[in-house]
Amino acid sequence: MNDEFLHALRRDPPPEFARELKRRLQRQPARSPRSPFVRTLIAMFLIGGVAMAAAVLLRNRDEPARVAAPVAQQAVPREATREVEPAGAPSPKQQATGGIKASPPADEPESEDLPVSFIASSLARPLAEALVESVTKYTRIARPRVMIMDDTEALRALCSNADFVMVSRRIADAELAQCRKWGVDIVEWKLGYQAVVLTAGLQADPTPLTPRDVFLALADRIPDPAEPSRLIDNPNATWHDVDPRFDYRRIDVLAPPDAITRALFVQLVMEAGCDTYPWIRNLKGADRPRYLDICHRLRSDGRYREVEVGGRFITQQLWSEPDWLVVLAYRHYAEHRSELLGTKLEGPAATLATLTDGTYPAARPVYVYAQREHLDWISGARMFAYALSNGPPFGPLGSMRSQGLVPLNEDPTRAPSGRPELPPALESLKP
Amino acid sequence: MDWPASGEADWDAIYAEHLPRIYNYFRFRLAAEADVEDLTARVFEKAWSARSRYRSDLAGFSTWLYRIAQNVAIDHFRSRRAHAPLEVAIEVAAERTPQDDEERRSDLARLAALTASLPDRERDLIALRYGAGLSNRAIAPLVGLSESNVGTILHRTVQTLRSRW
Repeated sequence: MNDEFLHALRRDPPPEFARELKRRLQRQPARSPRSPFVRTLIAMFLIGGVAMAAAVLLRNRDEPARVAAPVAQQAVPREATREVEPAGAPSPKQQATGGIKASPPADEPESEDLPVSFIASSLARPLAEALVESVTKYTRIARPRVMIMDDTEALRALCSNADFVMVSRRIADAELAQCRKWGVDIVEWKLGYQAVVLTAGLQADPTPLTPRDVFLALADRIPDPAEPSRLIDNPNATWHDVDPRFDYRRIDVLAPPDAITRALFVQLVMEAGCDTYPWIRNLKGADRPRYLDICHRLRSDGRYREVEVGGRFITQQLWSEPDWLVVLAYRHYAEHRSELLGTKLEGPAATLATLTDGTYPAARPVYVYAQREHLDWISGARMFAYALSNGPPFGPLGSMRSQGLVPLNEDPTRAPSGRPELPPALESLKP
Repeated sequence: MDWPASGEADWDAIYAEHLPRIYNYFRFRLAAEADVEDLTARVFEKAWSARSRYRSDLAGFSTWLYRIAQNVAIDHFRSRRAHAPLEVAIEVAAERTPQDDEERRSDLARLAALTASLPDRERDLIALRYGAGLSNRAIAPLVGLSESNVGTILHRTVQTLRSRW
């Protein structure tokens, strides 16, 4: 027995109970807090009332007969009697004050539900936010906040409390088994891929680069060639400085000024280059902040620049500057494929086929997982599930495309036909 | 966390965050599913109806909510002092659930039987730490101990439970 064992004894409340309790609370009117002013006013009335009652009592004791007769003879106007409200009836103000949420009339559909919890890896965050934006835009469900965790943490959270997680790898056998052991059924959507391409104009030198070459050309600090366990400011000015097999072309790498492409580039290309040094790779687990500082920090001396990379840039500037390399999101690259050299990174060319079979190195799949049971009892979760099952370009995948998603089986002629079917619970990891 | 003065989203967030915690707090304290639901519901109903009396200058919202839960638990034990954990174990064992879930419930029932011999403070600490999932810092004001004392007592209690498991 240890902490982990004891924590594992926790369990989510039964959904029917959570739902029923929430309904009960919604029906229960709230007692709105009184302001200090109102409290003072009430106190003054009470004190004044007591004082007046005491005064009347004293006067009655002095002249009982003289006061009693006129009061008994005085007629109470009928209108006044009618205006008196029963003591227990709520005032209009009280009636207007709801509980957590005023109970809807019978003919109005209830929009209540638990908020959906959504976790994404840092790489998938822009996609998750695009999905949330797309789903909450036209529905009444509460907008979930996207929490960021790494893939492993996110998938662990899926087995406990999270409704949805969006990650950059498939759930592992052991993780799925753990969820199933805890009685949590998982459903899976594979949305597509995120990928970047390092390319150049058609006139450029076609010699392929390794991720290590790219790291040594673009990192702010690199291992000292004389003593690789020591970092030095990057002294490389030409590709020949990086490796003598290249000629003396100046290092010039350009990228669009968007955070997504940059994040993909550093995580998929720079990290791969970094990891070729075992001591840096070991930092990934031992000292992650230092690892990220070494692998993600790009040089700022102008060898790596962020510029607007439009169609004109590709057709004219890249053509006239054959030494320039450019980092493009896959989608942008695919649109201008015929005007570009191809993939500068060694290995298979970037195509939908190599993204799909996993052989193109600068790509990651995008998976969304959800707890099957939550789709039944959280209407917001169900909305997300329907949206995810509704393929491009009409579903939210359309908006995720603009954030760099390369969707699977993109078919522009496909239209949604009624309510999409939700995927079954994941039994095992069949390809 | 502050009490939401207005707006439904905040209450929804509080409900989503604290419902599983309060529910598991009672599971660890009682290990009887039926009572757990009843007591959890009572806490939220009390909290909601008494929200005008909550004063953020005196205590954080979590502290206030868990104090209500502690009081509800105390009232419950007062009213049912004669019968607690043993019948619970039978009740849990009688439920038909998938095997893994059953094992987990049995573990909880066994834990309840072991914690029954502990002082009330230690039982409360175990429920707050592992049921409600609160940090030692959050537990400290609830039980009137320092954070380090909470850690020490919990460590010793878990050692004791482990030796008897």
